[in-house]
Amino acid sequence: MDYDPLFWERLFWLIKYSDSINFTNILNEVLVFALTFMVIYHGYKKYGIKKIVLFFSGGFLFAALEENEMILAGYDLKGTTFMGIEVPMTYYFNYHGYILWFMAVPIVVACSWFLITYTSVQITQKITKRFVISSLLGAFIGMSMDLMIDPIMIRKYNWIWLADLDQAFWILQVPISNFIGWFLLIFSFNWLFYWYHDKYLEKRNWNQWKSILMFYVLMYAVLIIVEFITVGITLALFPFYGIDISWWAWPS
Amino acid sequence: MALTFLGGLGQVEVIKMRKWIPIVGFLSFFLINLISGILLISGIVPPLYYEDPPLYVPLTYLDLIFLIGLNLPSLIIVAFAIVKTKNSED
Repeated sequence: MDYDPLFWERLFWLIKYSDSINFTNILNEVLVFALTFMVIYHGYKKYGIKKIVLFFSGGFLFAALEENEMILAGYDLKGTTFMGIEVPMTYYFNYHGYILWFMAVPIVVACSWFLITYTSVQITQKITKRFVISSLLGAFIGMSMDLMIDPIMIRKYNWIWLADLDQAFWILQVPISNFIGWFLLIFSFNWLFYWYHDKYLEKRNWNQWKSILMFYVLMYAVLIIVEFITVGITLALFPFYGIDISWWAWPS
Repeated sequence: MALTFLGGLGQVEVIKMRKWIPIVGFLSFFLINLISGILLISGIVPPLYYEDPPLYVPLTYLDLIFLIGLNLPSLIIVAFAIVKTKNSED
């Protein structure tokens, strides 16, 4: 299954197709937005408006930028070769599967990312107050949830992985880079936020705009580093390419 | 005075409930996706695309149980957090 025929033409449309406005999609998006608002309310009461806005906007952008980068890189590099090896295609979201979009990424997906990232570490902070360990545990439970979500959603064709079997190391018919990326992104974002919160936001040793701007700069730097690490680990797993750890037969 | 007392009581209840929001949010999102799987298997919500031959083996209830099983370690962590939350102020 290839990209939507109007993938590029409709990249900047907020709503891609009118048939995406159906009962199932409306219910799904309303529920996720409601949960997102509920969690933002929790953050507002616990950390105050400035910090939760920073967490939400940062988390939203972190997820939306990363996913857009991966999708557009795959789209741009389609059919190209590097050192004689065909560059593996990445994935894309089905334009009919979601109503509201931020370029190639459904807004509800970026909200879901914030939801998982925020709640997972709030949960693990109940177990340990050491923020590196709670961020690691949070990343683990967030990634675990994705182990369930991905196999369901690819069967609904809400998103589609385009690489061939021999172009990746797979788990449950999903490239392992997806789970490595989830783990690293949740860990790094939470670690950055809580480290930055304790070091700069809480102590107020910088003025407001400087501390906000610096957070976004650091966030983007961390995002780039995480992407490089994810690609590096994925390439290091080259000997395992062509293996799929799952109980399902590989699609013919 | 009675109103102030009741208002105060309401506020305490809201604060008590607020500590549960992250757990409720996390588990609700888990449940939304689980229900998506059930709706897909039952055929109530069909896949968005059909290809012949299909790209993937269709999902079954047994698959869903295995997928929940993969989440057992994280659900145990959440269960620990529930116990801790019960005994905590916030």
